[in-house]
Amino acid sequence: MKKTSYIHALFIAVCLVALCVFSSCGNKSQEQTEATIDTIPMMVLQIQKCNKLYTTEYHVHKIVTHDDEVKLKGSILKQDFSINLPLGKRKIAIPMDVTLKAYVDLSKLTEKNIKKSGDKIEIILPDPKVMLTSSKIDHEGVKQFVALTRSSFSDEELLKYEKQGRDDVIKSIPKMGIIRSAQVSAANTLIPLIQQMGYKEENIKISFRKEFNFNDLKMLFDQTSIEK
Amino acid sequence: MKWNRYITPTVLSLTGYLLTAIIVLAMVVGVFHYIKGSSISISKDDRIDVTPNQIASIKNIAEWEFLSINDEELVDTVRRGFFGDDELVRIYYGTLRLGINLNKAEDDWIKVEKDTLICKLPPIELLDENFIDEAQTRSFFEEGKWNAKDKQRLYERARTMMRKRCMTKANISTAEENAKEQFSKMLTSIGNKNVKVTFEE
Repeated sequence: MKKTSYIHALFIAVCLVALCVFSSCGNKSQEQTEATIDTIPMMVLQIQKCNKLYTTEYHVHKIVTHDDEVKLKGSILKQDFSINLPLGKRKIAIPMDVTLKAYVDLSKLTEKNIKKSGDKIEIILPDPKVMLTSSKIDHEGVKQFVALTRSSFSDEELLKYEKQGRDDVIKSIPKMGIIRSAQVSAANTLIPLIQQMGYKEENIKISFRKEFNFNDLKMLFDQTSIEK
Repeated sequence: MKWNRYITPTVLSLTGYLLTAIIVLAMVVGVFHYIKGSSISISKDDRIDVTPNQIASIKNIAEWEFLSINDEELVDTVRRGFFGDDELVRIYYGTLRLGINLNKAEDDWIKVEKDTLICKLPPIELLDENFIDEAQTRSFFEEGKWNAKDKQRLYERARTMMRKRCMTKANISTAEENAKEQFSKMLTSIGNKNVKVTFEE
């Protein structure tokens, strides 16, 4: 009788342990479900007070092109090789328009930047900056050629090329002369404003900290519009 | 010498196996050494070609920005089908700039009355209707084929959503307050003691 009761007790204990194990497993899976991260990025809304005077606007047109060919690449015995595979070509041309604007950040203008002597006034403006304010893809104008043996361009691929086109426009900013235009335009906007305050045009001088060279121009791009 | 008759073939066969193993090992090491440093792969160049950037237009503007709002919108479109649904999901980025356009100001928008400088600013507006940086868009999910019209529709929807989210009364009022504060500060620093900043109706 004793033996039978021991077996019963052992059976019950095994069942309880199994039940505990299964229930804990169930909890774990529930916890895992709860801990799942939402892969959809959060909507970000960043509001910032500022005081920027935009003085010049450039519209830049660019046609991004790409030739896509599958290659067999490698190296054998330190000899590199690259062979075009006869799998067919893919070609694409994406027209895009980019808007660049140059501005002067007037929140940095302090009393130190204003020199007055008698009826003369000189304002030394902060360094102008350039910002990419918008870009637009001409979807209707996109032309693509895809060989029958190849898959068509995916949305991700197209956006990758468009991003490269945007970066190329940013790189070419120093060659565009936008900073010089911004300086002249800033003076043309501010002089009438100061004239209204009672100063004569010939007594108003708008100047900048320095003449910018090619290397300085690279630094005058507003970094906030580079990467999201 | 009976034992020699049995042992010798065994020893010989053992030596044979050992030699074969050494040769095979040496061959494996040799082939491995030969292959090491060699590589082969199928690849494609993802870089775009070098094309010119053409300046289409240059314009002198006088836009004074007092509030900037960075926004991102997740926009999707679904096409129902017999064998399954197609879906395209994209994330658009944009910056809405609120401020005044001085080109729209009245001729006497800034004038001196007695000892006070009165500044009457044009109403706060969205400075540029093109505020989406479409080349920064991220493709989140794509199933099926989508044409130019579909993508243009998504862009327009993202624009409407951003406008709705950002052009609120609260944001316009914040921009107005900041404009008043900044203009007063700037005009005071130029040397005007009494400054009054208002907005056109």
